[in-house]
Amino acid sequence: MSVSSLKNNYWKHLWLRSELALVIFIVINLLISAVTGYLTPRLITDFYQSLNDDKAFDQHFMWLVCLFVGEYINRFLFQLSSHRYIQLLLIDIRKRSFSLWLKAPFKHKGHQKHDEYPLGEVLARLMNDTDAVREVVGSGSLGIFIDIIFIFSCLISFLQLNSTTGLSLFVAEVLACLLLIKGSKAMGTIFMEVRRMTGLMARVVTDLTSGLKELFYSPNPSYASKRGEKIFEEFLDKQLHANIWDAGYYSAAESLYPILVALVMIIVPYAQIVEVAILAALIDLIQKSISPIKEVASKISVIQRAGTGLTRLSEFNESFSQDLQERQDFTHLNVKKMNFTLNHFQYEQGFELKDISFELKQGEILGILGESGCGKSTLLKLLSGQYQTFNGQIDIDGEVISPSTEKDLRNFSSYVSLISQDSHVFTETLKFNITLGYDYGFDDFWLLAKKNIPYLERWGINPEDGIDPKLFSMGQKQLLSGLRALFLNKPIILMDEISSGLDSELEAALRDLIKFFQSRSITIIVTHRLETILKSNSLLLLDNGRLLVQGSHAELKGHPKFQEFLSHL
Amino acid sequence: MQAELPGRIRKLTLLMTDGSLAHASVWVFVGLAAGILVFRTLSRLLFFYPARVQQKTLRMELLNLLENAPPDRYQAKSQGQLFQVLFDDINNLRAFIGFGLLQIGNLIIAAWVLIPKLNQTDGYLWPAFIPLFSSVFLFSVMTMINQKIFKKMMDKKGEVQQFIIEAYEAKQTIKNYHREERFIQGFVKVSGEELALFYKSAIGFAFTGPYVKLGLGASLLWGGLLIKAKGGGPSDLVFFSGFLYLFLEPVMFLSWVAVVVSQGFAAWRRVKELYFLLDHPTESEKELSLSAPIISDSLMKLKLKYWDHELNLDITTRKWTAFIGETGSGKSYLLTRIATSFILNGHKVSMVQQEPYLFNDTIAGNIFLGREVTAAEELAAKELIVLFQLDSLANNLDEVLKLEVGENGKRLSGGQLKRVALIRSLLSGTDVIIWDDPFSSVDIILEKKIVKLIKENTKWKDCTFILSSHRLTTVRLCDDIIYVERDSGIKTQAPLSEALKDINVCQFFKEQLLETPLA
Repeated sequence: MSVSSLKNNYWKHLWLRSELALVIFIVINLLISAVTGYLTPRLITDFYQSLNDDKAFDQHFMWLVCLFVGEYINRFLFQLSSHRYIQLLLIDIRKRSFSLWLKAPFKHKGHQKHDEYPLGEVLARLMNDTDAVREVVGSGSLGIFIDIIFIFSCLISFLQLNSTTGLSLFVAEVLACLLLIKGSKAMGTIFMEVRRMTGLMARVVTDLTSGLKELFYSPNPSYASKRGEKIFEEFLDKQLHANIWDAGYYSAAESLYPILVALVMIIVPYAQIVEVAILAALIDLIQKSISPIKEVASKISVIQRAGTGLTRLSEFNESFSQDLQERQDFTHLNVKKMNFTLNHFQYEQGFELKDISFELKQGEILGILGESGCGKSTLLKLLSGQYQTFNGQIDIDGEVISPSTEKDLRNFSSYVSLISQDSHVFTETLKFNITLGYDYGFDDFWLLAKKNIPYLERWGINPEDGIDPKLFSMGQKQLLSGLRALFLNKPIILMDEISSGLDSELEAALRDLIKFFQSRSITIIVTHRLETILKSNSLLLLDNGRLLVQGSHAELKGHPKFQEFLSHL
Repeated sequence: MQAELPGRIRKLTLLMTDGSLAHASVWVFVGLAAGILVFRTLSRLLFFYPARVQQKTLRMELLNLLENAPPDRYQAKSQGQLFQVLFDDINNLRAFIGFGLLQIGNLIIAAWVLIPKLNQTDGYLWPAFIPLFSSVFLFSVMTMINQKIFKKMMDKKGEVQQFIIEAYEAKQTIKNYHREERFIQGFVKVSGEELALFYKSAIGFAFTGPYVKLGLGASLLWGGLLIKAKGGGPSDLVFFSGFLYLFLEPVMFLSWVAVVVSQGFAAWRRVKELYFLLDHPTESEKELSLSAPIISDSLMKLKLKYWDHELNLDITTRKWTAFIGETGSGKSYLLTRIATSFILNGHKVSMVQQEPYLFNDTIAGNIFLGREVTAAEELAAKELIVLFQLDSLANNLDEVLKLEVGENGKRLSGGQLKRVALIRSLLSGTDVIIWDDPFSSVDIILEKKIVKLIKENTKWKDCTFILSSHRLTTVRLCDDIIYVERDSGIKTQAPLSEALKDINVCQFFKEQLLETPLA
């Protein structure tokens, strides 16, 4: 994948190298349009002149028919090919942004990237901001390139008919265009504000739609409407602001026609125009060129809007591409021994973990226990290597990894699989939920899994069955998450046992699951179950972020805190 | 004002031939320009602004309906689709009202002013307008066809959004199993399908868009023929073309309006669909409202459908009732039905689901959900925060209350999130509190402490607690036990002391306890 970071340079976004043929075709359309533009004023002048001449009239009439039809076909082809290009472009832009976002790691500390782009913002960037590019097509804005080329060739051709008026008109129209373009840039800032507000609104809307069920079952004074109203109101304000500028801007473009006519009236006495026909062609030219200039005015604002969309997209992409690194797929690794040392880790809120270390061999289980808030979940998250960096050292079969650098930590995370009930369940088949899309070797795996975990048979679920995540209990989620880890064959497995919400059958299934992967991996379990404590090779008892005591079940038996803990289980 | 222009320009060309051009008339044109600037700006705002206000009103109305409707009603719509309606579809409607009406209004005004003007002097030219106006007809046809494609495209867009939402929620899982590439492929597929529909919709407009210019040319030529037949000169044709250009603008806009209108139509159909769903009770809802709970001073009687059974539940008022049953027996569903039944029949209930949602707000915001808070309530919240061991989240209790939890409480752990939701329900002031597996992330010591303190506090002495659990320790803290099973409905319904002697209940917990040989 090309990770060419998307700078604020639109052209870089808009250029699809693979579609060269299409681009050439579009350029040819533009050139043909230039030719028809060049011919139009001449032929029209001829037509006006021939009104009093029968023979010439028929001939010029036919010429114009051909010209208009040719122009229509050309524009039709132009529209078609440019739409195609935009379609391909959108596919490309969305894909690039989506994959950058998906591949980028989470960040919880420092500038909290995860919060910088909550769901609504991701949606706004990926959909709404790319839609700005789509609007360019919807509003026919690509036509302005044709229009601009058309006017200029018209003007050039008119220059040959009457140089004084032609030239002044040329200068006036170019000036008008430049002014409009300049104005549109100022409007870009205003559009950007609207877009930013759109993003904020998307955040609120996704947040509220996610929690709708919550609101029905908890009495509240219209929480959603209140929060919605606030952001909708702010959005309305920004839009009104943009509207005023938009409307004024476009009306300014509309008032160009009488202004140009007035200009002609000033110029004409000095231009020695004697023929009415030329004046007629001149007026026609003004009329013809006004509508494209008006178009340019309105369409440039659309393009400007698309530009703001692209700017936001590149900002989005940039922020992710910085910490993106290609990662290998470590699916079949083997780890014989692991040494883990955590010297120090601290949350922003103040809670800290200190001086925890252990050594584990393949086939061993480490149990982590402690009361709520002792830091055992944090330790597990740190062990997953996906959370954040910390001060310490990890040694895997002699390879030393420094968890204080993100790169090392990410490499470490490839060895690890975290089984938890927070694992996402997709509204998909069971098979997809286990393999997450790459099902090579699944059938053998499934047979083996069924043999080792009898519950799967009794559950009565087939790999091809669709799953409704809402009907999944926490235990089933954990089991599913475990099956994923098993399928991937990870050498280090972390598990956050759930303390309740399990019935005996699932309980047994999860025990079978642990047995199943135990022999071939290093297993670390935050435990709430006596059974796991008894089976563990070693135990860590944590208290308030510190290691209280460490050892095998037999060694810990005498410890009062451990006794207290056991008595509650 | 613009209608003045063709006449004046004709006069101008005629004057030219006389060679007696008056410089004073320059100012007429400048004045006209200024007039157009002011008038057009105002007319645009006049149409745009109400459309925007209406967009806001529509959003508010939908949101209000959504938050008050039983979730069953919109179950068929994924979150991606809901987002699409609230966000994009309503936006399209706004464009429809703003642009569509503005331009149609423009056309009517143009016709109203221009037709009499042209009729006065040059009525014979009317047929020449046919080619230009025929494009209007073409646009209407295209709009009808495209509206269907747009509807499909918007449905698809909802799906793309749902895909992003799901990928967002699953990002951790996807990364954990290194399946990024697979999901990128999935995204490209669904987003490609949407964009293919987009291209399909563009084909029609590629036909009709440039047609305006062709129609204009044809009208000009036709006008030339008519003028020639009448023996008119170039200045007549200039006059005619002036009129053509005046009509051109609204007609040109129609080409754009056609897009906006077809999108607006499609959006309207989608919005209406959602309105319909929100407005009509589902079957299960009708059932629930038919058998309202019968509430006496000491007992709440509920009649509910549960799998193939009809359950007659007797819940003692002001007591703690625990539901037990195996995973997959539908306890969560049953609790939801109980809550819905109460709410639909006008009783206030607060329920905490197995996996509650926290809004992107502060902890206080999530506890009180926008309610005005008294000092006493704030104090109560702080006490509960200490009780539920959430005080370690920040340096002091005020800071805890002000802590932003992030979307779906992302900055908290799953257990902390649930405890905030439990606090919310305790402070909601309802007489019935329903908790689905409340202590799954709380250890046994804390659990005992929490229940004890709530029971002792006079604040909740009139409150009825209904909860579900697997844990004997939790169940022991309750007063009544209801054991439900998928195959047989209610297996046991009894006070705790009796239930613990009941053979079914004993069997259930015996299986649960198999794992602890030491106990």
